Amino acid sequence: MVIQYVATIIIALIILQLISKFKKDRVSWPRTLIWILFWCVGIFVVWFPETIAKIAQVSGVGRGVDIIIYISIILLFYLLSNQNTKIDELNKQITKLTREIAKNNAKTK
Amino acid sequence: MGLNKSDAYITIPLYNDSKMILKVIKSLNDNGYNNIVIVDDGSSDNGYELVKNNTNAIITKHIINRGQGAALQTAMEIAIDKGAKYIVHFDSDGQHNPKDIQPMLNTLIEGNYDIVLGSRFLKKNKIPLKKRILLKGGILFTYLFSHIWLTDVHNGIRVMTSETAKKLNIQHDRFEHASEILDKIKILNLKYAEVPVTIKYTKYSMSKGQSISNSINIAYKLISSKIRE
Repeated sequence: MVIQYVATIIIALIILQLISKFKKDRVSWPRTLIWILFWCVGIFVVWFPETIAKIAQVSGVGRGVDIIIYISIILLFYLLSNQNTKIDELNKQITKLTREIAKNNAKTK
Repeated sequence: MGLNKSDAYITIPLYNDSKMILKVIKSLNDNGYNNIVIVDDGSSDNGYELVKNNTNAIITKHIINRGQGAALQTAMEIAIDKGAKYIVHFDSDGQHNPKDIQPMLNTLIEGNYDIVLGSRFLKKNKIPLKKRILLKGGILFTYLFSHIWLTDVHNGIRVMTSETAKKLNIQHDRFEHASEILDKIKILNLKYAEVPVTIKYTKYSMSKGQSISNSINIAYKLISSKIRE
């Protein structure tokens, strides 16, 4: 099926990008490894959809596509909340920095 | 034990309030308060220059806007560094009356309190209905959230000892700081009192006050930070 080739190309590009980011020292190696593994599983599922269909049947979800949607949503929410925590942390650091500059500025007067 | 007004540092967060700030500083000076710390919170107007060139107040600037809570915390830290014995929170928009500070300080010192909060409901104030409903809701929320029953919440005028100010350490950068302070009164077991104050509602100060949607946002942020603890 065409969709399998399209999906493979897209995933391959994502993996290549990951590797190039890792080479530029922008992502740590455990993170790179986890994501490459994740996308490899993706390619596997694209070419052997019956495996995921089996899991869906055994677990009681029914359709293979449904299980992927469920997992994706859980993953997305998890990543989103991680991002929020990080943004909060960044905000705190920015405030700290701004405060230090302001305090130094007050001293010189 | 008499009150020496130079022991009190007035801390004012300033954000796009250049219209009122000089008047506010002057009225404080006229009432004998000369230790004023102003933190301009990344305003886009010329308030910082106005204050710097025309008054004897200590002024500094957050180079980017970080919110009222953050600015107040910066102002308090500067005041503590300067040797403040008492710290007064005061608004920049002219809604507070400097004459209210003295009775609050007196209560703080004579009653050996850690913090004294201003209450607009203990005095006859003309409070617009919308504001009244919002504040009563805030009072209820504070009771449910922090388990302290007050007659007023989110009133910007407060007086405290510098020890209290050190302990408070405001973490919420935006408007939630007002609820955070009340929450910390409970957590830190601070001895607190409320003193009647006047609030002058003008079209100007109303336009800068808090809205209903903002209140919901504050409640949401407080609850989510409590869950995370």
